[in-house]
Amino acid sequence: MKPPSLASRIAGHLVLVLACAFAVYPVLLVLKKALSPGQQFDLSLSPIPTSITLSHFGDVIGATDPGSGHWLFGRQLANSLLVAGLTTILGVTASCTAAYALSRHRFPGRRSSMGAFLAVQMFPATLLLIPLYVLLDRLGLLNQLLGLTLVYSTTAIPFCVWTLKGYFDTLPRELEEAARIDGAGPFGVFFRVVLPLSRPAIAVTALFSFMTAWNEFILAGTFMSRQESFTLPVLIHQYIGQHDAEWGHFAAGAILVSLPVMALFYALQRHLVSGLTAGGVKG
Amino acid sequence: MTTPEPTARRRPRTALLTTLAALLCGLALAGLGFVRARNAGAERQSRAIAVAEAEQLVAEIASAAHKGGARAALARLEALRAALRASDRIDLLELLPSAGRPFLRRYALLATLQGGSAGAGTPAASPAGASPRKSAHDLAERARSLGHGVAQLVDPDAPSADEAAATPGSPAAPTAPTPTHSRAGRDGSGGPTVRAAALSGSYALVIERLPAVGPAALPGGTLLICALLALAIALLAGLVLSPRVAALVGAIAAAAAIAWTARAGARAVGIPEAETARVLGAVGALAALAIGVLAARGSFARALAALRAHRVAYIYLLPAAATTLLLVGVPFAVGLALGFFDHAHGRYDFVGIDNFVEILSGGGHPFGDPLNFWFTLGVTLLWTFVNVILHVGIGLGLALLLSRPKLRMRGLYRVLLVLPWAVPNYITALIWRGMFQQHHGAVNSLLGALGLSKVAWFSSFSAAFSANVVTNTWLGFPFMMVVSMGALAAIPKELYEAAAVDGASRFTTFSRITMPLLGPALMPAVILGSIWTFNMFNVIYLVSEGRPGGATDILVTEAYRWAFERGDRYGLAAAYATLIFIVLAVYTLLANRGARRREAMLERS
Repeated sequence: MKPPSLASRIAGHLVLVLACAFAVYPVLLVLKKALSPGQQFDLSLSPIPTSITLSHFGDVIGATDPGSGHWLFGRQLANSLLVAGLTTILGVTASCTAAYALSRHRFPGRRSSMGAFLAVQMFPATLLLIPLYVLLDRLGLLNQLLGLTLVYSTTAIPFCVWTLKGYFDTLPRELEEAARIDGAGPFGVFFRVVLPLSRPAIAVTALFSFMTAWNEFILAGTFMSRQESFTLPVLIHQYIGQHDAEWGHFAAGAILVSLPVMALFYALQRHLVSGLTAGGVKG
Repeated sequence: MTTPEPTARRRPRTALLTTLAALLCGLALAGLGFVRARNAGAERQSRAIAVAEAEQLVAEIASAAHKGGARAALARLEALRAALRASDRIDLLELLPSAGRPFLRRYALLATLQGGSAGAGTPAASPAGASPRKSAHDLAERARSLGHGVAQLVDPDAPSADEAAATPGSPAAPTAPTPTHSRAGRDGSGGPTVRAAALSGSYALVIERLPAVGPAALPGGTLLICALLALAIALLAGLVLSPRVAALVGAIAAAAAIAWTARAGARAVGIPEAETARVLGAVGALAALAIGVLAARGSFARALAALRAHRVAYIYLLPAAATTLLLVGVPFAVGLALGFFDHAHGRYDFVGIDNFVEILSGGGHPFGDPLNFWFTLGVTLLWTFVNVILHVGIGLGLALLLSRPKLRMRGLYRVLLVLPWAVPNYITALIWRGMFQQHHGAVNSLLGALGLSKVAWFSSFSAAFSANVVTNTWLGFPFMMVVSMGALAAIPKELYEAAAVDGASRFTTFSRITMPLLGPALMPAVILGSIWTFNMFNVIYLVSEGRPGGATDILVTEAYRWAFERGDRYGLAAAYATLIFIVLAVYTLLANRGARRREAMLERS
C-alpha cells in the first residue's frame, strides 16, 4: 500500500489526537479530583488541579476498621489480589483445556457446548444474583473468598474459551502432528507445543480474567458480609454509597484500583492485538 | 472413529450387575437427598426462631422510634446491644449477620445517624466510620433527613406518606416503593449524593431481601448434588461397562432422585404439596418420555460410545463445563423456573405463564409508557444498535488510522486509546454522570466555552439517551479498536500488493479487500459486543438512572427494578430475564446464520 499523502497524514494525526483527548480527559479529571482538596463533585473544565494534596490517597490507604482497628486497605488489597490471582489461574487453566478440546477435537456436543458458552452471557448477570446467593449459601461458600473466586472464574470462562479457541484454530496442526510422531502423548502435545505457542492469547485471557475479578463489586458486596473480607472495589464504592458522597476519596480509590490494571494493559499491550484476534481470519 | 462399541460383546451378567449398581446408587442418593432436605428443614426452623428473636428486637427499636424519634431508637438500640452482651447472648448478635441481615442493615443506617461511632465493633460497621471528621452541621442535616426514614426502615411494612402519594408504577415515580429511594428523591438538590444514596439503597435492598428469598427458594443444593452424582455414576458405569442399559437405568435413577429430593425439599420449605406434585408430575412424565424415546433410538448408547471414543476431549472440557454448569447453569435454570412463579412476602406461588402474559400485553400500560415492555424493548434495541454502530465505526476508523504504514507515535496513541478499557466500568459511569451534571459538569462547561447553551442532560429522552450513549461509547470503543487492529493485521499483504499492481483506487481496495475480509473476523466481536451492550446495566443505572421517568431504562434495568425496587416481583423480573435471553438467542442465531451465508457467498465468488 502506498503511504498516504501529507494532508491525509496530518488529518490522521489530528483525528488520533482528538480521539486520545476524548479517551484521556475523563481520567485526567478523576486524577484532578483525587489530588484536589474537598469532597464535592465539582468537575470543572480544566483537568489541571489548582492546589495539590495527597491527603485523599493517604486517607484511603490508611483507612482502618473502626471496630477491630485492623488496616482495612491492606486486608482488602490482599483479598483483591488473592481473588483476582486465583480467578486468573482457575479461569485460564479451565479455558485453555476447554478451548483446545473445542478447537482440535471433533466430538458430539462440540457445537452445542460452544453455543452454551455464548448463551450463558445472555442471561443478565444482575438477575442471577438471588439464585447464586442461595446456591453459594447451600454449598457453604458464602462469605468465603473461594466462593467469590469460583463465581468470577465462571463469569470469565466463556469469553476466554471463545478467544482461545479462535487462537488455537490458527495454529498449524502440522506442529502437533510432528510432535506426535516424535513420541509425545496427547497431553504432552498440549503442554509442550500448543500452550507455549499461544502465549499472546493466554496473556489476553489472563488479563481479562484478572480484570473481571479485580473490578467487580456488586457480587463481592453481596456475598461478603464483613468489612475485612471485602475486595477493594467494594471499599471504593462505599465512599459514594453513603449519604454524603466522598468524591475525593472515591477518586483517589478509583485511581488506586485502576492503576494495576493500567499497568497490566501497558505490559501486555503487544499481545493484546495478536492475542485477541489472531483467530478471526483463516490465514 | 465415532462407530459405537458393539454392546453385544458384553456378557449379559455384567449388564445386569451394572444395572443393579446404578439402581442402588440412584436409590441411595435419593435417600441421602431426602435426609438432607429434612435436616435442612430443621436447621431452617431453628434459624427462623433466632431471626424471629432478632425481629422482635427490631420491633422494640421501631416502637421507640415511633414514640421518641430516631434518637430514642438509637438509645434503645444501644441499650439492647449492651443487654445482649451482658446476658451473654453473643450467639444472637453473631447469628445476625447471616440470618438477620435486615436488622443489620437497619442498624447500619441508624449507626450513620451517630456519625459513624456506633458502627464500632459490629460487622456492619459502615464506612462512615472510616471518616471520623463529621461536622455537627452535617450530622444534624443527616439526622433530619433520616428522621422520617428510620421509623419506616425499622418497620418497612408501614406505608409512608410518600408511597401513598405516589401512584404505584406511575412513570413519574418509578423508584418510589423503596424507602431509601423515596428519601433520596426528596432530598432533591445534590445530584451525585442523591444518586449515591439511591445506589447504596438499592444494593442494600438486594441484601436486605435475600434472607426472605433463601428459605422459600427452590431446594437447590441437595437437588443439584444428588442429580449430578447420579448422572456422574451412570455415565461412569456406561463408560466402563455396557453403555445402553447402564445409561437407561442411571438416567431413570437420576430422574427418581431429582423428583424425590425436589418433593422433600418443597415440603421442607412449605411449598404446597399439590403444586409440587402437579409440576413434578408433568416434568417427570416428559423426562420419562424423552428418556424412553432416546433409549429406544439407541442415542444413549451412541452418546456413551462417543464419550469413550473422545475421552481426551471431554476430559479437557470438563473443568470449564462443570464450573460453568454449576455456577451459571444452575442459577440460570432457577432463574428460568422463577419466571413461572409469583413472589410475595417470601412466598412463591406457581402462576403458569401469567408473568409472560402480563409483560407481553404491556401490563396495562399504553404503548408509549416507559413501563410498557414493547417501549422498553424498542429503547433497548435502539440503544444496542446505536452503540454497536458507534463502537465498530470509531474502533474500525481508529484501527485503520493506526495501521497506516510509517505512522509516528503509534505506540503512544495505542496506549492512550486503550485507557478507557482499563478503567472499571462502574467508575466510568460515575465519572460521566458527574461530567453531565447540569451546572458544574465538564460537558456543559465545554459547551459554554464553545458559546453554546447548557443542556439539562437528564430531563429529555434524547439528551439522557445521548449521555448514556456517549458514556458507553467511551468505555466500549477500545475493545473494537483492538479487535479491528488484529483483524486488519491478519489480512494478507499480497492482496494489497496485487491490488496496487492492478491500479485499484484506495476506495476500491477498501471496499473489495478490507471490508469483505474484515467482516467475518469482526463478527464474533460484534455479536459479543451486542450482547454486552444489550445487558449493559451499569451505564444506564448509574448515568441516566432511567430518567426522565424511566424512559431511558433498558430491559435489564427494568427487570432489576421489578425485582428490587418495585415490590420484590422476582417472578416478573425472572420472566423479563427470560425474554431478554430469548431476544439475544434469536439475534445470535440470525447473526451467525447471516455471517455463514455471507462467508459461503464470498467463497463461491
